[in-house]
Amino acid sequence: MNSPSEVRALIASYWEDPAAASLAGYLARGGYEAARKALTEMKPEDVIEEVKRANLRGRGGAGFPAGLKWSFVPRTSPKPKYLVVNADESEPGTFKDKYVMLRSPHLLIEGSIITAYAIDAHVAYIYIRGEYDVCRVRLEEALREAYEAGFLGKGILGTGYDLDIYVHKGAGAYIAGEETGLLESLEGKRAYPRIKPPFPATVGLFRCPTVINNVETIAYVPFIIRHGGAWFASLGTERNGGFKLYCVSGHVQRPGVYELPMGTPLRTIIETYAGGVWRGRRLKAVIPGGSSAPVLRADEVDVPADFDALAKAGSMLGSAGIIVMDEMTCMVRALEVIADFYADESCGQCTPCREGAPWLLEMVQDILHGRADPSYPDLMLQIAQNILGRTICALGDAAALPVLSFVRKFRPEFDYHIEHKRCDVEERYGEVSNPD
Amino acid sequence: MSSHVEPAYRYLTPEVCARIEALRSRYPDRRALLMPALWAIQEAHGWVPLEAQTELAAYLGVPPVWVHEVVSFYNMYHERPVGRYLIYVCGNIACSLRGARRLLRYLLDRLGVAERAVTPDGLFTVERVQCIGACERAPVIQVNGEFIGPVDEAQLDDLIATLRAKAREVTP
Ligand SMILES: Cc1cc2nc3c(=O)[nH]c(=O)nc-3n(C[C@H](O)[C@H](O)[C@H](O)COP(=O)(O)O)c2cc1C
Repeated sequence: MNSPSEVRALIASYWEDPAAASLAGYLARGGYEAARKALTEMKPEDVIEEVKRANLRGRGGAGFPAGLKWSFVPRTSPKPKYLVVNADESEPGTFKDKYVMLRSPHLLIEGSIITAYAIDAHVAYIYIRGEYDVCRVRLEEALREAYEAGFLGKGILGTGYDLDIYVHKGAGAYIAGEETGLLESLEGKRAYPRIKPPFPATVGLFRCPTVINNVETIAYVPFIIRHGGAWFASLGTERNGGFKLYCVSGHVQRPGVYELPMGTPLRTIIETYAGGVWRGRRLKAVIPGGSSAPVLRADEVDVPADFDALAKAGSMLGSAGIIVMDEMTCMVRALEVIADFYADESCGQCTPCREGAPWLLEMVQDILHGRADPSYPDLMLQIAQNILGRTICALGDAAALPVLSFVRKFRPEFDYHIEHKRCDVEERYGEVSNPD
Repeated sequence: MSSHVEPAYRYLTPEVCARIEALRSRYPDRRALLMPALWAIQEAHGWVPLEAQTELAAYLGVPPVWVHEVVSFYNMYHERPVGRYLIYVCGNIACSLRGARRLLRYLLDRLGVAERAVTPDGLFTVERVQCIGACERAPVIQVNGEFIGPVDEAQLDDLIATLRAKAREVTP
């Protein structure tokens, strides 16, 4: 690990060296020292305090403080406690956890050991989406190495602490990434999200206290234990500690994962790191946090990319899937693709989402195919408003927020399609960059 | 006295059962074995026929509907046979921004097949899927789990030719 004074990258520092994916390479870089420190020098409560101090916020989308979540697990409960690692990574535009698992699998294992120790869990499950079989294979290899070296199993690192980590393979369902949907899925059922409360920290997997964290959240834990929570907190912005894995895709010159300090300006991420908009074109819009996040116009991207600043800007950091759209993008077509996703992935438990998401899709399609009348955009806003906050899980919000933001911010494009039954962007440029 | 008769399983072969048994101790509840067991069946047979679902229910001692509701909920369990090469074409936002929808049509035309159907030679099934988490390689496809991208029309042509040649080599 880098010494705290010259830190350029944390997780990604392991990605530069292919050997770091193996146990030997990981150990050569100080691997499992943080786990040793936690298990031999710290009490579970100390670990939780350190993570609280770090301002480590959940990287799965909601940004909930990790240390605080862990502290909700009832320590005195006689039931077994579980750690569940969310490696479902299904939010469109998100692809960072894949790199963590492929290139630094031991970081995830070490973080899991420390987290499980902190919450007194002796079994952890890593739930990996079925499409990431390459990650599953890599992780299974790394787990075998860790077991053989005594980092997992009985009496880890010569202590009295036992931990087993199992990989569980998903089978293709976005909703299985929602934490309680994931628990249902792990239990062998349809991934129907549960009504909360009770929260998983008290009633979770197999009705036992459970902590669920995203892969990236867990992968930062070893750094915090190694160098301290205050140090980690100092790397980011207020209440947003550490570094962040940003995923940049769409119309940029260099799509990819960039690990940068929390709160790096969105514009800097796009222009400096991802090389700016491709083909010399101008920026039109950016979705900053996976496709659920409200879209930002080009004039709204001068904002620090952290949870609080993006919320203040009317969007969200979400999963940090930054999707960039150039000036030749048809926003109606873009919304159609997004609406198709949420209509397709709604699990069907709650009426507003089950019925509303497909209505929204049909209405965008009507607009695209010249079958809509001028009342549509307002009606879409109304339908979206009626889904918002009225469902068991946040998939309903995820279906509504893109519609609200696209229609409000790019209204003339929708109106033009309706009135002229043609695409304004296509007429101006001769083609669009997102043809259907 | 009634004698216990071992049910004759067609799909739950000894190998599949061994894989399920190896996982049993990982979960405190046998229902949680369903998804891994379905994967074991699909990996052995290429798909999960209804008969296999019924066998699995009997084997685990759970109601058949528990199995079927899982199979029908998750996209990656195949309720019908698929081609030897299952090609997922991502059609979600990052890929569609880079022309994925056009590529999907191209691929289907090129193979002369409908989405989710199997080509007459049994080699290919093409399916448009939602985001597969490889937007940095957009437009991206997955062939039997392997990510390939960014792809264009010419690369799709090459890919089909390569896979056809490969199939000829390994077919006895
Ligand atoms: C519809 C939906 C899908 C989600 N998908 C994922 C996912 O794929 N990966 C993930 O880590 N979190 C996902 N989440 C967030 C989880 O519910 C949960 O907040 C997260 O796993 C908690 O971990 P964290 O605190 O470390 O972020 C999703 C949430 C919703 C509402």
